[in-house]
Amino acid sequence: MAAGLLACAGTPELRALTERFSPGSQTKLPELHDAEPGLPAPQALRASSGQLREIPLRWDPLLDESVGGYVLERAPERQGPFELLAGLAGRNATVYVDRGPGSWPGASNRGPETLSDGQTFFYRVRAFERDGALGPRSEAVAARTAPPPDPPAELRAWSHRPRLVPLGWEPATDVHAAGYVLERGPTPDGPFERIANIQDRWQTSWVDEGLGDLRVFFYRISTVNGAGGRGEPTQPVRAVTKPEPLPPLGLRVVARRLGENELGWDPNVEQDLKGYRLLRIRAAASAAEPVAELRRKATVAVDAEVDPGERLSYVVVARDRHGLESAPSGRVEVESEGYELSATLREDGVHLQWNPRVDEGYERARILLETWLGSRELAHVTGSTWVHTDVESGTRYRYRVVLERPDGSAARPSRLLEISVPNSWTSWLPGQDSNLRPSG
Amino acid sequence: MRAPAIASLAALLVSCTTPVESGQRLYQEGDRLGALETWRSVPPDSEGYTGAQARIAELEPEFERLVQEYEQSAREYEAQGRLTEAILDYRLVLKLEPEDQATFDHVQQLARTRAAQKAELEARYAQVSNARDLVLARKTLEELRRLDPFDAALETRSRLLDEQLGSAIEAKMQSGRDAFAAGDYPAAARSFRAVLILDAENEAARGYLSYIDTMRREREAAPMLAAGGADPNSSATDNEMRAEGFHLGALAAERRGEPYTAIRLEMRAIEAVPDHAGARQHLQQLRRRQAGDVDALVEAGRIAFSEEDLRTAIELWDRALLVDPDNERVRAYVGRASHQLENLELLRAAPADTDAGGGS
Repeated sequence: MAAGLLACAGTPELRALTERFSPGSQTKLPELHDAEPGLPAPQALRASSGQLREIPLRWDPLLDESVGGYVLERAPERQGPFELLAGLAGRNATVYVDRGPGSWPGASNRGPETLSDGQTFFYRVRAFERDGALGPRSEAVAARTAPPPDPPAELRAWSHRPRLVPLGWEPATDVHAAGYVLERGPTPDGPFERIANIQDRWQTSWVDEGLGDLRVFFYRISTVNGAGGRGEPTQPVRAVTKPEPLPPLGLRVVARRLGENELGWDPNVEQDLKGYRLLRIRAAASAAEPVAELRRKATVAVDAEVDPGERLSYVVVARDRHGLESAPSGRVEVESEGYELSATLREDGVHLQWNPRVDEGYERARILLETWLGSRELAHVTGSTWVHTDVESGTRYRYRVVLERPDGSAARPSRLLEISVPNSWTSWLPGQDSNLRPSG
Repeated sequence: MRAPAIASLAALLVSCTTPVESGQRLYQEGDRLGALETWRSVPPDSEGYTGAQARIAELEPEFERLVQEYEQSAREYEAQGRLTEAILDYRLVLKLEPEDQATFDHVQQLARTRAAQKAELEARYAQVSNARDLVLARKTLEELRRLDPFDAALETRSRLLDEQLGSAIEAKMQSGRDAFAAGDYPAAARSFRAVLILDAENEAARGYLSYIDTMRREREAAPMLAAGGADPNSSATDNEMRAEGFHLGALAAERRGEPYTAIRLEMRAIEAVPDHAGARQHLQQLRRRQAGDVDALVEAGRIAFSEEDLRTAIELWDRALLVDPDNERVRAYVGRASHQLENLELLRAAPADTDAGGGS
């Protein structure tokens, strides 16, 4: 086709070419036209392969003083079709670098915007005389741009790291390598997503952070050249992030005391265990509350914030030194110890009875009467019983008991115990003896 | 419903991502169960229901396959005593099937077994290290690394120990070479035997010992030679020494009833010295003797291959190739099985545990 274009003098393309200044020169080309051979074909056309998206061309100058310059032609195949690439004015203008678009006006639709990686072209050159008469063409020579860069060797991913995966590889050997694209996928077949654009050939490590516990990932890497061209990726390599500790086993109630539940569990065996967190779930609550943070050696904890007779449950989680936390252990249900408070209506009044818990260190008890005005202390007694004699018929009474230690510290109050004194109550009546326990 | 699914649905509401996209994000982040639960939680009357169902249909078989692969891999590791790797794979099973109580119990039990074994090996290592018994220390360290290849401290220890062993071996080798060059063969033999205590496979030490023994026998047979100045054998090259060492190792392996090890060692002897007549002759004898086993090895390999035990299959076929190296059929079997194994190996991480620099 190019041959056809140049077959006759004064074609539009040739005219356009002559209107253009040749590269690096202010000399305008003469009007080119085919003519009887007067000049020889240029010799020793050389095209250098392996350059990044460019193909340098050079040839030996023709020494004939009538030479006005040269015309270069380019084709994707040896057989053509060849198209005009550039016109160069001057007998000694024997160098041209092909970077894609042709160097003549209106020819941008003929050549690529830029050369791509691994692209092969064939070139010919012909000289023209000062009056524009074109000489014969040289032999065609081929050259190839640098191929897409090979991936770096020895991509490695280190497993068992807390929520991260360190990666390392050998630097790319391709001289045009300018960086890397690192990708991660959930399977060896992908889908892969880009996690890093590394714009330095010598940066050969990366840490993929912010990952979940015990996650399996596949990584691959490709090299990027200075023109942004990306080569094939490596085979994917696998990495698994560090698992969280195992859930503690054997959570159990070790002891129950008034206002306190003591729990224990079997020690975890992870070497890097930092400790445990005991959590409480109250009957009415949906969320767990922290009870205690413990170091790795401690496998017993006391919850001292339980109400007497309260139903609750516990779980324990293990934590390692990286902050990874296990799934919760199996849940343990507990009913905490209560006051065992009861009330009996007799002829001399309301008899209150409770467990004094002397073996737990309690010495005395406060007897409280709850009214709409608030709480009023009725008595401060030792022992396990007390009689409220000052009661009236037809009245409802609500009592609480609070146990105290010798140092004055008190247990949590008992739950409310309610008892109604009947209207007919004046004295002891057989059959009216009632043994009441806390409501609710 | 699990927390990730709840979280993802919440994120869905505020960020306007579709359920399929939200589940896909979890999937990309390695949370298959979270992804599956997110897609399963999409109500049938929702716009994203069809897309979610399509993803579920794709993921469920993958899920099932992964569980099987992790289980198989875990069992293999467990059988080999590589408990840390076994636990990791069992935990991957649990990650996908958190309600699998039997696996959970097994993992807890394995974790305790590993901890007990590790404590015992650590104590033994401390003891033999204090006693400067480098050979036992290396053996114990190998056992520890087998048990827990992810323990970074072991790698450091291993490097230090290798350095110590290397120095000790080199010192004794040098001492042996010096004595050998000076013609003090009894002293040289003592040094080379000491090397073999540290490194039983050290073929150079074996080679020297073999030459010393040959010279001793020759002297006994022809006492006149003893006064004849420098012994030509003392100028033997290192390669000849190594070849002799491999050859001796092969003879020893045969005596132990390990013909395939013997073949391998003779092949290495011939590699070092191609015209080692003893090695060539012995190799021929060994191959002739084992020729009857080739068919059985090939068949056993085929059975192992059909049971997806690729490593065993390759090992059996490799043995067949040791005896019959030109067997193209077996070579093709090995190639195919190796390729499959490579693909399987992609599912396992390299167990090394070294910090890399860089950042994200």
